[in-house]
Amino acid sequence: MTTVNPGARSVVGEYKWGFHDDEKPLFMAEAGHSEALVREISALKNEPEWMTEFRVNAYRTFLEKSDPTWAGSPELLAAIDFDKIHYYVRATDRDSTNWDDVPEYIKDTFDKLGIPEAEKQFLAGAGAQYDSEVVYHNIREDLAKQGVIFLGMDQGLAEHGDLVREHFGTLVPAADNRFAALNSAVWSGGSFIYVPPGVHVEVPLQAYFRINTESMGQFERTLIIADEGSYLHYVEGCTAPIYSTDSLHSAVVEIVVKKNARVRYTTIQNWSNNVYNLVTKRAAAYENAVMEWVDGNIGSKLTMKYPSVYLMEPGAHGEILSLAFAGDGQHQDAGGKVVHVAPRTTSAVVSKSVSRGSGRTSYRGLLKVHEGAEGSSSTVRCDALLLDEHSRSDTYPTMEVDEERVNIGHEASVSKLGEDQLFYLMSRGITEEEAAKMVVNGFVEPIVKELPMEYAIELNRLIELQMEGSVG
Amino acid sequence: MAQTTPGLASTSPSSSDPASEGGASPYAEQQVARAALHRAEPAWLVDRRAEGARAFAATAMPTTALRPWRYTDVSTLSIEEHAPVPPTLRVEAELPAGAYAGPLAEALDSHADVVRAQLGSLVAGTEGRFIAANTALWNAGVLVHLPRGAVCEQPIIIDLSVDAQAGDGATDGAPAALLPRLLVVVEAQAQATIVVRLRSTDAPLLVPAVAEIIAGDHATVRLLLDGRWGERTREFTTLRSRVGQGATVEVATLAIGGRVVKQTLESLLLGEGAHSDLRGVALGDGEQHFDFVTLQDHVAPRTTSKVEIKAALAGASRSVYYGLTRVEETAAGAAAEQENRNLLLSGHAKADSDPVLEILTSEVIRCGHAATVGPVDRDALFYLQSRGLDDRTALQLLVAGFFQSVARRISLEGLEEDLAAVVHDKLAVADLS
Repeated sequence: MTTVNPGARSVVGEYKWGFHDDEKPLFMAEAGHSEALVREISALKNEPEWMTEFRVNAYRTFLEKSDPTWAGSPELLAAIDFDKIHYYVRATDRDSTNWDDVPEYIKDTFDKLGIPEAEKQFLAGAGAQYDSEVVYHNIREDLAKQGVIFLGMDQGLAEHGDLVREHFGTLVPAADNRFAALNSAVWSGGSFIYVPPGVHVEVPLQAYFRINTESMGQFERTLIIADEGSYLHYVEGCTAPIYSTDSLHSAVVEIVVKKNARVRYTTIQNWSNNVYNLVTKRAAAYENAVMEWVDGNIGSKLTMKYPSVYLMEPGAHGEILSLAFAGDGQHQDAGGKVVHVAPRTTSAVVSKSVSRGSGRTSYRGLLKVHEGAEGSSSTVRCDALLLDEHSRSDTYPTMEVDEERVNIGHEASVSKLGEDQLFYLMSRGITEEEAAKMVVNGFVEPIVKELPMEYAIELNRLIELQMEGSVG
Repeated sequence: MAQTTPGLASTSPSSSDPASEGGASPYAEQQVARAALHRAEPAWLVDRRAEGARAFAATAMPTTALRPWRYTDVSTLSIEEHAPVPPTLRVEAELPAGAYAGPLAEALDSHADVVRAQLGSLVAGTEGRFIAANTALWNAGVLVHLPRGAVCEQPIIIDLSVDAQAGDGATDGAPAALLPRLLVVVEAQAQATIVVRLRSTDAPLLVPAVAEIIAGDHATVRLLLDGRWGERTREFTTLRSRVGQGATVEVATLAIGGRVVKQTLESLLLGEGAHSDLRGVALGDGEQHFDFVTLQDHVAPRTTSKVEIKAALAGASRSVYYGLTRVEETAAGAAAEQENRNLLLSGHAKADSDPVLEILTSEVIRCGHAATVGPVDRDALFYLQSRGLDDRTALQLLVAGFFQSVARRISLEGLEEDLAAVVHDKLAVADLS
């Protein structure tokens, strides 16, 4: 049996989740980036001229930008070799990868998660098809009757160009940061969702249903527009370790939540431990709208992700629930940003993080209250649990308050696994390892309970996997 | 006058470049060395000052891209334009045998070994432009030295001020600079309480200050910085403590006067069981700008720290708090608390708070922080109003009460009443709109 080694960079062929379009010649870009490549990607996708320009401008911005000065692990960021990354890969040989070639530790994890064989093969990039196609189409039909648009971003651009153009890059401009610039230049895949006024999408929409037909990308780009009074729960499903030979995942997500609408965006990220996960997610909530981010980070080598909510009009509410688990060698640099622009806006941030082994979790937040946002209130609560002597936890909770008539509070605590809690459980005949799992599960429960059931179950399993061998 | 952070721009009427005066700037290496020799300072100190002058010339002004300077823009401030002026320095103390509290200049002879070994041992002259300026040109030096086991029962009072003439243009129209340097060496098992009273007139004054506190094993050092500067004083202080085994260093700062008060207050908890206690009160009005950067670095096992900074802000005043508590891998059994509370008393006041934790070991007892920003409690205000108090009187009482936890903790005789009186007087005329 192959040794389980999450850090191994075994090669199972090329990246499998490229852009899907049968009418175009198969294409895989050389490693490395250039303006010509950016233009070529745009041309291959038959994009309108404004998008080509957007990409090219973004690319120039990318070249000018450097890594953020506040990065918690600058040495990890500096190790990214942008010249070795394939920025655009289309499925050229989807069937040529054998399940047998998938590393043992990935299969092992799939088994433990209880993922069906077909799905496992798909998730590993070895499966030809994952048979949720039917489910996917049924949901598509229901949605279509309600006027909901749920497409891949590329298709969305092709079919709803004006709507895309109105919002694309408005919340996350290319110049926002280096990785947003890179994404803006070379993006591929992602979702485009429009929910018409008053429409409530009853089932959570899951990228999961879409990935087999549209494919996921390393540089996916998602745009969600929830029109007035609508409701949507979107689930970004990286529910199993996604094996990737490429090491950079840099997505951009933009969400517009119009008056009285409510959007919840749930992510459970479980990238393999060689992936840099550098993602920019931002939402704007208008009058009495509600935006909720539920963000779970379990995998990756380094995650830098701070979902943001801009509370643009009176009565808007933003919520960020952030969960991070960092095992050996991982750095989860996550958190959230809330910007109160308008009066009587409210927000709540709850962060729970667990570090084990040499893992490091950082909560990095910004709470900004502009002058004039009177009557606003916000609470930020961060709790960190450290499981091992060498584990690390940081809290960087920046608050900027320019308005008097507000109530802003922040609290954080860092503690180790309670010896008396463990002792109590062990005195009841529970093994130390089981007891530790129970304490951690209890610790993260306030966030897990917000997840759809199947994700909650998987998340608990993922945490148990992470906890394996953590005691003794 | 350039407008960046209001009031930080140089107040000098003429912005003549001192470099153009053919190296006559008192900040130039040659001038620094010449002045030191003129004062007949020992060679090592002349070298140390010259080194500071070189660092000053080689170091750029910090920019807002640097995290500790994010909210305090000094890009238009020119230190060189400020001519060092002689301070008025008075030290009052009832000292135990063998102890010293007095001008650093005199201690250069009487306590040569202590000064040479410890001055600059915690704060290197190359750390930044304000520190370099101070290293080169400190002119208001004080040494407090308590030998092993010496206990000073009464507070040591240090009065430091700049008189009106000096600030008012006695220096050829150039604004004045005061460069205080405090060295506190309290050896094992010794104890001292030090009160530093800082006063200035309303003339422009720049104060780049450096303080070093060395607390030996099981020593206790308590220091109060009572800053009641005039309205155009800008203070930039770096204070660093080294806390030995079982020792306690308590630092309290009152930021009441001044246009800009930026203090970097750091504790290095190097000895097992060392404790650091840092308290601060800021009372702002008008364009006052307070900026506290703190570090509690837990290096040794079972070290503990507590930080409590409270600001009450009227007018368009602003308070910034950026505090780092770091628990190193070696600091098993550490416990740390940080608290930053801000009361906004007017619609234009601002508060920025960033209490940072970096915990590198799970072997911590508890590390936490809390920060709040908001107006005074409405119910409390309503209650006082229902008793017939007008808004202003009610606020005076509430703010005095808000500061009480810090004032009591500092527990210096008369301080609580003094602070309540300051709150009363300042809020009697403050802009609460």
